Amino acid sequence: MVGVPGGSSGIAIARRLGLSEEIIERARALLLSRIARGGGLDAYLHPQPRGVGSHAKADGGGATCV
Amino acid sequence: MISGPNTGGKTVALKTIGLAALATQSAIPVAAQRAMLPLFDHVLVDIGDEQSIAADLSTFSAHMLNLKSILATATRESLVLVDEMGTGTAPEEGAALAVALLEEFRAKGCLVLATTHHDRLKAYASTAEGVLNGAVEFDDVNLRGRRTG
Repeated sequence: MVGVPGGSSGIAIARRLGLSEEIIERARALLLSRIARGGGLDAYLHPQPRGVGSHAKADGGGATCV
Repeated sequence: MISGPNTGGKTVALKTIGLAALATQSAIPVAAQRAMLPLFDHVLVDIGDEQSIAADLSTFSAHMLNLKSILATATRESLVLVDEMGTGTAPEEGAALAVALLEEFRAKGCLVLATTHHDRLKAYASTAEGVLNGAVEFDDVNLRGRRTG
């Protein structure tokens, strides 16, 4: 696929390597929440730098806010 | 969660702590003015790059398999040292995996020291209970890490 950027599929590969479903699902949820909040796939592929902590606790604490 | 400049000594910090822990358990005096260390049932380490064509391992898969076996072994009495957590893949995916793994380690209650360049992990450490950020400072005159305190 010349001329097309490729995704890394790190989470999918980690699943194939045998990481527990719990970890995979958690990682996927964290990634999806990040993509959904950050403006979709384009923002994911071309992320803008953000200050550490600027989005902390935005959705009530816990790991989903990172 | 240890962060800070490249070549600043983050990995050295992990190795120093690992060596001190192992020395203590072997009744070898630790190279420090004063040290108080718990006894661990395991010292589990993911440092370096284990990629190997012969073993069919990429940088990323070697880290993942290492972390998988560390998770299977670690107890609340274990010391876990992870260098460059969540590297070798897309930063967002690596950071998401790292957070998910850190939550497993937290649930187990083991003592984890990890280094990172991911801002997301630094943010995680600043908000998650039981997780603390620590940094190697940067000397912007000499363009190198500066360790203080």
